[in-house]
Amino acid sequence: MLQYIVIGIMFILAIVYLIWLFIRTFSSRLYCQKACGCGKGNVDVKDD
Amino acid sequence: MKTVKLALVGNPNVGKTTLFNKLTGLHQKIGNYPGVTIDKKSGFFKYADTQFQIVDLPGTYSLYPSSKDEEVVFRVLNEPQNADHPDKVIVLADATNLRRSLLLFQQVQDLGLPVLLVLNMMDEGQKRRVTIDTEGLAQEVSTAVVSVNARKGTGLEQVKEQVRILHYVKPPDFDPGFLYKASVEAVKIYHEMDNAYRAWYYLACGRDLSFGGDNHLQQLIRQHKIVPRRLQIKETFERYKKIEGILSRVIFEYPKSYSRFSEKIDRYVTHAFWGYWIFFLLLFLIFQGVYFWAEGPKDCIEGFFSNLQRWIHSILPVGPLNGLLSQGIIPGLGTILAFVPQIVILFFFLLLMEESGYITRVIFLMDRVMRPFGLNGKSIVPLISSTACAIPAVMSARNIENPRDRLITILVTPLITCSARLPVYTLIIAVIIPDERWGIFQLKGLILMSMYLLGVISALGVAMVFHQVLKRPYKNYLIMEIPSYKWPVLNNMGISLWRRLKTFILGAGKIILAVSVILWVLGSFGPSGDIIHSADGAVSTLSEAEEELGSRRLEQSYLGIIGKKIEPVIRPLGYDWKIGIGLLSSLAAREVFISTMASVYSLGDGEVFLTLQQKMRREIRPETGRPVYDLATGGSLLIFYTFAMQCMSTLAVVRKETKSWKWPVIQLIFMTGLAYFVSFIVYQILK
Repeated sequence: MLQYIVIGIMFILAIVYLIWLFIRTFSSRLYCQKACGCGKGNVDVKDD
Repeated sequence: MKTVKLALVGNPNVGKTTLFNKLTGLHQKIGNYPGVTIDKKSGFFKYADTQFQIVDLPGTYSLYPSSKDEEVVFRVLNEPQNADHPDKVIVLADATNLRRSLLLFQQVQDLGLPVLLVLNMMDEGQKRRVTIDTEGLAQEVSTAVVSVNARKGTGLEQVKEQVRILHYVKPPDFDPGFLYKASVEAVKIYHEMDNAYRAWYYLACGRDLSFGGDNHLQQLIRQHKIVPRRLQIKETFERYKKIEGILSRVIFEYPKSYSRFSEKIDRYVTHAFWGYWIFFLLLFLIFQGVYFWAEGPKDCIEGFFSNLQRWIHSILPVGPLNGLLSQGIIPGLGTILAFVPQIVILFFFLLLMEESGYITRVIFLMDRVMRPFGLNGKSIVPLISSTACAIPAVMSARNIENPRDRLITILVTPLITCSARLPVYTLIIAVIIPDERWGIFQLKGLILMSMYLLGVISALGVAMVFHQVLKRPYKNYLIMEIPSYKWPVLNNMGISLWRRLKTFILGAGKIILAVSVILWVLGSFGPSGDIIHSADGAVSTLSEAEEELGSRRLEQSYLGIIGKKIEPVIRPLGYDWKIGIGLLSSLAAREVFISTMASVYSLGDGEVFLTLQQKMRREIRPETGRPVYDLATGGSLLIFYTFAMQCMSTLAVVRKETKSWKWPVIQLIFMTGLAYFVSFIVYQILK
């Protein structure tokens, strides 16, 4: 039974993650992070 | 601690980002071609109890912006309210081309900012037998001059020290001339400023870029009958006159008695005939290498994940968690990671081209090819960047001045084969193309190269259509400096390679993990309420009955039901419902197709430990008894992925760059429509 609960939680989390990813993709900052490929240190690509 | 804001400006491809990386210890993308930096990037460094915030700005030849990326420089230097407006400026100059760098330097200095002049590539200048009297130059330009080698990291301490003590603001000595004196005075009074050059600069820009949208400037321009462009030309002429005088006093150039290494090579690689052949030969060798060298490491990775799958299956108790790991997550992740060697090889060669400076020769060659299709040579930078990922490529179109050419470039860039398509292509090619060799050349490598060429041809074809539809406001030309060849710095290449690989693995990996979990659950449970986990059976031996059972279970699952619903739409293209699931899940990102197929075939196949390639080859159409992945279906699938817009992030970036939903929607519709139509034709011809 415990295994089914774990899988159920993972399934819900996976769906929530994909929805969140979709929303974040169409928000303004995702592509900046992807484009500069930085994600390290104190780099910040500002969006005009 | 006090924070001093610095701006790093200079002509394109003088090494600004290389210096920025050395000063801050960061690893921003660099390349031996102009237009790599298209937005400002900031970092920090500490020196003598002061914290410096340094902003790396896109390259520009003058302060008058002609493209979106150059406007960033304009805004940072001209808007005191801008968060990145600097206290001090570093102008990085190419020692081999001081003339052009000094124009920008003088403009920045006349804006009334403390400026340090840093000379890069002095070693290159010495090779060309050019000597610069730096002390004399410092006196001429009324500021300190420091020599550095940004690639090797020498001279950095002097830069930091000189920046620390830099305070002197040279009074502008720019003379607007008798004709424009009155209008310059009017701007000075209205904007309450002392700096005559800044007032001139406002007039010469001629548009309200940062003046709060006031109409006063426009009125003034009309009233004094000013043609802003004429002011820019006048200023450029006068500055160059002055610069020639300075250079004659500080530069000692020995007569050129020999032809440089770069020039010798360029005679062949930029040749109107041989240049193209050399380029295609290099591409040919790269794609052969992608198959030839990647084979061994790919088999090792596949073997590792197959063993991991067996091990997990044997140690975990029989049940759904065992099934999820051994049939869902591990095959999903393992299959995509098996393509890492091919991606590394391809990126390594592309980076080698970028770092050495060869890519600028390709841009020069391609300018001629691009023009009939309504694009210009600058479009090549995004198109080449797109071989890694369309997202930064779409953004790099900002350095194209002409808005129409920029839009066309943005619209066709996603047609170029990106790294996400590479695993899809190599998998399908491996399944449908036999292991034939022509001498030392592999047939698969040739097909892969033709897929890349098809991407380029389709991008040009679509560009031509847009060229006919969209109006061109004005014609523009490719003006680009060809840098000298440089030995690639392995450290830089390693960092760039790792960054691209990380984006591929982590970016796709997270989606693949989530999709694998969802697919396994949907493929293991059905509406009848039965719990299906075929991994609990004995699967070490191949049994037809077991296979049949697995296949039926999958068909009855939620995944099977969804797949069957979409099957009628994709049937004319030669796809079954399992491929349909792959197409659907890869809407998020193309490479998800691979992991989806791995999960789907793990669930529906009795022999779970075969590689995905082996499983796909075994897949039979129940109605005809023939293989699913024959030349017709495989060819159709390759074509579908060539044209289809299967990338959510690219759509998002197109929306952002075009500032509307109109173009991404048009792009989605035409690319998907084109993919469907051409795949249909290919399948119907080949079947």
